[in-house]
Amino acid sequence: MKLTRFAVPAVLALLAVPFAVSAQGVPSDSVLRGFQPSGEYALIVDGVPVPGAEIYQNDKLPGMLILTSALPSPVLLSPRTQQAETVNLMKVSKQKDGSVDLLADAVLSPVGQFTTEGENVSFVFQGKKVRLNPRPALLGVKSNADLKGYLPDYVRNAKNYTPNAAAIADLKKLGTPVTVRVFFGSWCPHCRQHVPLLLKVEDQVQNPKIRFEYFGLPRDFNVPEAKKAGIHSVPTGIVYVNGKEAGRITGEGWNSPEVLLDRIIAGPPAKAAKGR
Amino acid sequence: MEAIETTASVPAISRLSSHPIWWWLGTFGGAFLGCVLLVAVWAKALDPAAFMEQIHTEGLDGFLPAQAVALIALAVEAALGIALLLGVRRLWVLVPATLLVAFFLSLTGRSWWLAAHGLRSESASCGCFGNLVQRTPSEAFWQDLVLLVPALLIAYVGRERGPRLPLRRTVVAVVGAAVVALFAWKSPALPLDDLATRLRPGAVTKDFCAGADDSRICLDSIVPELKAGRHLVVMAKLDDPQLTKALDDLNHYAGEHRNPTLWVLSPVTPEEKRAFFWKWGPAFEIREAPQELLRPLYRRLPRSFMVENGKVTRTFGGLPPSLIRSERSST
Repeated sequence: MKLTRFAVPAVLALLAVPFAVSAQGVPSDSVLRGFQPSGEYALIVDGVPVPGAEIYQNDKLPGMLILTSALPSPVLLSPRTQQAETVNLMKVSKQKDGSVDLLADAVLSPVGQFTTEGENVSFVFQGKKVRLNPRPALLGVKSNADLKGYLPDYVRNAKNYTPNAAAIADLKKLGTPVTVRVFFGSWCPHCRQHVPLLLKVEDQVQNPKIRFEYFGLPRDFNVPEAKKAGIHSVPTGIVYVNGKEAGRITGEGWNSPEVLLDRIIAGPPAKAAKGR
Repeated sequence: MEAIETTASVPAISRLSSHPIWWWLGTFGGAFLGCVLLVAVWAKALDPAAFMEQIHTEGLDGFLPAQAVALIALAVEAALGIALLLGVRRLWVLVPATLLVAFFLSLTGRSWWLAAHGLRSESASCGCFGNLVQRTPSEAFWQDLVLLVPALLIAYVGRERGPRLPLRRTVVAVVGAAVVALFAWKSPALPLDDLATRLRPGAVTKDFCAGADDSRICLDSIVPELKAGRHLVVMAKLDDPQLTKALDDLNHYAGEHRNPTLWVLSPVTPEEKRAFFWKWGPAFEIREAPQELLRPLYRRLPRSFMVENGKVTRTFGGLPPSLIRSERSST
């Protein structure tokens, strides 16, 4: 495969990225910094999806940075100029918070114009046809790790949330079997704000009696599980205590899901959830 | 008060209803109903565009354009409201008022039924009170029933009889109706956004919500960052030429670190948002907000507002003037 020509040096260089700053002592660029991991796009090179590609977005520039061993070097896409530019991998610095900066002495070399077709982007880089396509929706039953792996926004928003300590303490002590099934849409902007809060709660509770599962829905909700559960909006969390539905996390309840979850489990059932 | 019949020739029930207590009750009921109708007229006349949208949604613009239907409806409602407030309680006022109340109840009842069967958003109401009042379809139905029907029934009690037309009061009602129609026609151009919408200085962003129960959504959950710090929020459609023309200025504004954080709220899909990103390269964040949430906050888009620690401090019709000025100076 042609990609292997670049793969070894690129992987080695990617491994070196976190150390770029300390090795060179060069500060981050004042403008080309703060690229955040983005889960919006999938990279396709010569028609082949590249699952491990790292795509970062900077809303301030704005721009999108692609880091992958499938390309000879990182590529920066700038919507305003419609230009694709390349940068030396050693000038890319990963930060502790997961964001990426370009170093102050990074030099951008033009690759050429990229073209857009609605939300799809394509360009040619050293003879390779590169495409950025929106990722398909995450569907079916998923775990905490699946969501965090697929949607970097979820990691970021979970990190920024501080759950209610008393509710977490209650949930940690719980001895009754509870299942929390969350219907969500990976395409849904409100889920991006709310579901990560429950991921954080799950991380902190660590109680084997409480099982969290996340069910990704398509846009039209047209799956039997959603119909059976009577899902009209996402995110909706259904709380089952001893196998029976005890209440739902909906609407404003998502502002502090652990508090509502604790209240639902404590009972009285159903109405406490709906009243939120 | 004109022409209350108290002669022995009228039936017993009429004699009973012409007792002063009944007359006072009827006057109170009529005045109350008149007040409710006038408040509803005021709310709708402030934002006739929203009223027109409701007329279109309900399919009431089959024979006349929505604007004409809106102006006629407002004039009729205003005339009846003023007449009732002035104590004109004759059948030629009460019968149309009854038809109007029945019409409102049928609209709210239909909305409720559609929402209950998942055919309409829970956040949509009939719009009888414009955008000033946030009501779900069920709330709208029950509130209208409680506010309008008892007052209407009481207004029938001790109603005025006789052939005489209360000329002066009728003229006032007709002139009032004409003034309301004229006001509604011109109001979009008047600086009444703060009056006509829920978005005004002093308002708290966490109170901007739409929907009920499962589908309730609040501005705070779409832009949680508004709770702290200073922000400039622009509500706009992404294909609005006003927005795209001012994009350089908006980008420049967003790039200045000392400026409040700039957000654009838009009723777009993620696909439209991504396409906008690649086409225009905004240097600010765009957040998708449902139309049901945004609609009560504006009469016309774009509309902007400043937020400080979750509280609205200033509002602007269109884009903030400073941005428009810099746009002009750069062209």
